[in-house]
Amino acid sequence: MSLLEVRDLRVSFAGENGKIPILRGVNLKVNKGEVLGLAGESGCGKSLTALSILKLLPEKAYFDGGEILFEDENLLEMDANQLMKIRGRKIAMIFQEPGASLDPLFTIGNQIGEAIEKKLNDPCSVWLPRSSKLKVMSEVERLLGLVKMPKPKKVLHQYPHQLSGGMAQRAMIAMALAGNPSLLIADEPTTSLDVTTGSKIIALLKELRESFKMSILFISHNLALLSQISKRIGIMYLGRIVEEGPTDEILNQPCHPYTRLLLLCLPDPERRDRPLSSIPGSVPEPAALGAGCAFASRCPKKIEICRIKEPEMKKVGENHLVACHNL
Amino acid sequence: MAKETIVKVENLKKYYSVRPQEIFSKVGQEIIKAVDDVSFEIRKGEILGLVGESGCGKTTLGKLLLKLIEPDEGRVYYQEKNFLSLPAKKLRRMRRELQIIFQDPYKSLNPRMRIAEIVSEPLIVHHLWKNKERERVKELLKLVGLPAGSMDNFPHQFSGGERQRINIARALATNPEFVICDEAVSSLDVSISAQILNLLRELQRKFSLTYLFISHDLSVVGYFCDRVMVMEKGKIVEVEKTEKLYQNPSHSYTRTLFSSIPKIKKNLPLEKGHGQEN
Repeated sequence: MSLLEVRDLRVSFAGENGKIPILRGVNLKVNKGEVLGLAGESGCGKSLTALSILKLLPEKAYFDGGEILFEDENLLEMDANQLMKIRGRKIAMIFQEPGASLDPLFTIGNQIGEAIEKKLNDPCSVWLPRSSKLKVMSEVERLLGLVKMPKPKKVLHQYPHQLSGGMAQRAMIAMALAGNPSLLIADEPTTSLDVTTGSKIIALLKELRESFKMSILFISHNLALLSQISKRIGIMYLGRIVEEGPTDEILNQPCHPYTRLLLLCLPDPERRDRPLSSIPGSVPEPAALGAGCAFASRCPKKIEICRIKEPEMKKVGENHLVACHNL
Repeated sequence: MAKETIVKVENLKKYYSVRPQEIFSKVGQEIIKAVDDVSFEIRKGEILGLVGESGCGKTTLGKLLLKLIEPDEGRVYYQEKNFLSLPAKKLRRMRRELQIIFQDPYKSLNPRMRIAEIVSEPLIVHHLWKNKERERVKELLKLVGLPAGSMDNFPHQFSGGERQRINIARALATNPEFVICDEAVSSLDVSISAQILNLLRELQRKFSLTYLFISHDLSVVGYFCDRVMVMEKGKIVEVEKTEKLYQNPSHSYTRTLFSSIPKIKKNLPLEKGHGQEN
């Protein structure tokens, strides 16, 4: 059963010479208890997709069509009050740079506490009686314990700059858990961390997914990393998902030419003699995209129709979809 | 490959003292051993990888080798001379041969200088190609795969990968023998990083360069380097040929490090891709 379904989502930026389409019809589905990986190079719209789901678009961007169904309700039609009940409660998010997403002026206890207060009370109220303040702090401590924060009692009174990158990310995860969300959006949560710290965070997320029965939308540019946490991945290119399917199948039998080239770019210590292939050309400007497949200008397998018509998603296997004319 | 040693490092040390946690307290001053008694050799024509987690002293070590920061102790021999104790004039002469490419292509190029100025700056400093600097710049840009017509542009007009090419052109301007690549591809996308790695390897073969390749990305290092040094808390814990190290790491820290790299399980071989360079 699907928890989140994004249908033909379009987001554009208002540019000087008219609109610039950034998301050009994103379709994705996150089922209950599932981890969906979303991969792609920078600028392909991974993060924007994540932000759209929480309706946190940057200033110049606007929704240009589509639906975001969460538990069968369209988030795009909700007003601010309804959204407050979903953001941080049913859908939580963690970001790439944990240091930058924590407020440097408040202690960790205060910041996570804020998330809990919002949950305990009416989402719009700010003040709490003192007795519940203490309750909140003990709850924060419990959350820090859940994310395996070393010395949670001490961290409660520390400021973000006193934490290491891994600890800060744990604090972020604790904050996300405060609302007991059913969907966690993780946008490159380990990219700024060391490999050893990163792999611990991944292990933690896996564990929490089990115990909280959460679904995770895991965004990363690192395919190897995605293969460790998600059973299903989507590959994005220029604002569309071009291939989607079971991780093993995509990594071993990629069907879309872009996915194939992307995988060949990865350095492999076991094949040192092979020069790395690179994708010819460069990513076209979104404003200059015409009709036809966005990858056509760089595609080694393009045929005539690629320049004229944008390909639809086609089924190539069970649950394996590809948007390419030449299969 | 020649086995001649090009750089020899002996007992290199750099300690930093850190302010105590409480601002006005005098107790609890801590010493951080960024580089702690490190010795190794780099052989001519090889690509030596340096891996470790952030804060282990990789970058400090790279900077010490070029005397961009003063070491506390130790010697770095280059062409049989102790580079660190050379008088200023000779040091400058020697620096022609030793160059560095930095991590962030957005921060390491002066936004107010044109590409021609950026790439020719080392030539001016070292009095090379006098009055023919522009020709040299043209040649260098061609070498790194940028159009010569772009030499009067500013850095912001280039993408990350192109900027890294400019960085490489600048590093190669003086015809160096030894180049330190400090996380040279870490901030780039995989497909761009592949292009830059191919370029670096091509240039290395063409000019028989020697690289010290500093990176935290173990799969890049495993693919790109001939030998790999593993650093932990300022110390080098293991130096080994890449294949050997990756198959069979002996130090426990190396093993922990390697077990945390995410790997793609490959069941089927990938077909040969299009657009391969070289």
